[in-house]
Amino acid sequence: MKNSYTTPFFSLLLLFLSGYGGLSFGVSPAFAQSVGNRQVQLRIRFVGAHGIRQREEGARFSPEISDLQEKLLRFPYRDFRLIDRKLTTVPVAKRTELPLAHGHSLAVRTVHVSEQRVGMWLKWTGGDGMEILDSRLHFTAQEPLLTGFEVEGDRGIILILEVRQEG
Amino acid sequence: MRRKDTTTDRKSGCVLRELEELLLSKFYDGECSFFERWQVRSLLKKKRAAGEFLEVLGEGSRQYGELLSSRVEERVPEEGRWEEVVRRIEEEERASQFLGNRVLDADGRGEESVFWRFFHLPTLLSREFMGAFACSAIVIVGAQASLPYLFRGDQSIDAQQFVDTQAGEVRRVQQQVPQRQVAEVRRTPELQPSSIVPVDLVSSVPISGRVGAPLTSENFDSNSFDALFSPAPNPSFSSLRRAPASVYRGSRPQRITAQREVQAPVEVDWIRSDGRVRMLGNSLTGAPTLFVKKRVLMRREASQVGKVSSPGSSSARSNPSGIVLQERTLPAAAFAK
Repeated sequence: MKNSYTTPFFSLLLLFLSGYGGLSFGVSPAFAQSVGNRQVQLRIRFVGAHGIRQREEGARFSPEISDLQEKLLRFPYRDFRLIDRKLTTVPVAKRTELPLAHGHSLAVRTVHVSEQRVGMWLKWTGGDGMEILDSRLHFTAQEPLLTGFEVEGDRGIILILEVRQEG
Repeated sequence: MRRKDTTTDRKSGCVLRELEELLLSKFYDGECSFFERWQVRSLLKKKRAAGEFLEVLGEGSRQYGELLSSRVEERVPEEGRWEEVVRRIEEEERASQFLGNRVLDADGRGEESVFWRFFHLPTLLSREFMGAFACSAIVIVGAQASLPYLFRGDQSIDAQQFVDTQAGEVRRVQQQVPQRQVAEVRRTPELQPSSIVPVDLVSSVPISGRVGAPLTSENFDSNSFDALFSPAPNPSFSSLRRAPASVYRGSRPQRITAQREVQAPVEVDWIRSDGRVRMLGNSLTGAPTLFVKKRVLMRREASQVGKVSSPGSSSARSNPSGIVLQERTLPAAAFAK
């Protein structure tokens, strides 16, 4: 009878202790590795787009972004041109500031990363200090994250972010 | 020094603590519960200062009452009183047409029974009651959490009985329907009764592009039923869908909505922007795509400022209302072909 009464309380206590112990003494190596000295490879492409695409009208792409044609067609623009690109390695769980073209900047912090999934905080700031996007999101590691920003009615810039696990 | 005096005074019963004064005030106002009145009585016996405090309270109350009544008299002149009363009566009559008659219960408190005094609101909000209530809540919650463990043995017995009952019913159905009749029903679907439907074929439905192998009574393994819903090996996230499963009963297929939770390509914890953010394309497939548009108001204002501003000036400006307006963030040359 005593056991019946105390089971839920002991369960909660054990859960707490196991979680605490796991984090403190490295019982969970996967977690420790994910927040330890791991690094991820970040590939950034900064694309300028202009001209509103009419229906049935094709779009033009610069050769550096030809692999993203299908995805870029979601944006309503006609011409896409690569402005800037970066390939860098950033540590997991640490904030990294990356300057982009024309005064834009991107701050990223990888929350978690696995072969399938990436969790990331990112803050994209415009050249004039405008906070274009400040978000924490989780997305598929194999797929690029595309974020467009409408500068004017017929003009925009697109930030393409790809994350790969290193090693 | 003062503390020491207070202690000695307490012993002699000359000084009251703050809590005791509050208790006496409540007693004077008639707000004490049964227990509190008992406390006051014992306090009056123990400390002389308690009685003095009550006297002071009464004196002050009388003085304040006189002051208040004199102010009321000053405010409402003698000749206007009757008109005021008539007006109030008329108001009350009008209100009673909509709200019903109101019952005056202002002085009813003095005739309350001990029971209602014990349970009136200030008593219920007192620390003792709140503490008791919190303790009871903790005990009840703890007991409820323990109930499944307390009656675990009985529950398992009940569950076994339930299973036995179900199995008995199944056996009974099998006994009632002879094999020949089942075969006949299978041949003629229109004769199938609603309660007994022979299952010819159970088929899994393609999940994430994989065609499931049809299951028959020969190759069906009841221990591996989960295989019906197992995804294809090494699925990509973009290929996962919410897929319904179908079960074919006799010759008529019926769809059952067994839906599996599929991880979306993008999950957003929170998002913040100076513009308007929207998701482009199908949120369940492909690469996640966000599109940020500047707010409309900001753009309109910017275009108005653009008319009066000279080219080459700074990128951020203030309009007369003090709002900072932004111009384009990229030079036009960046878009040149």
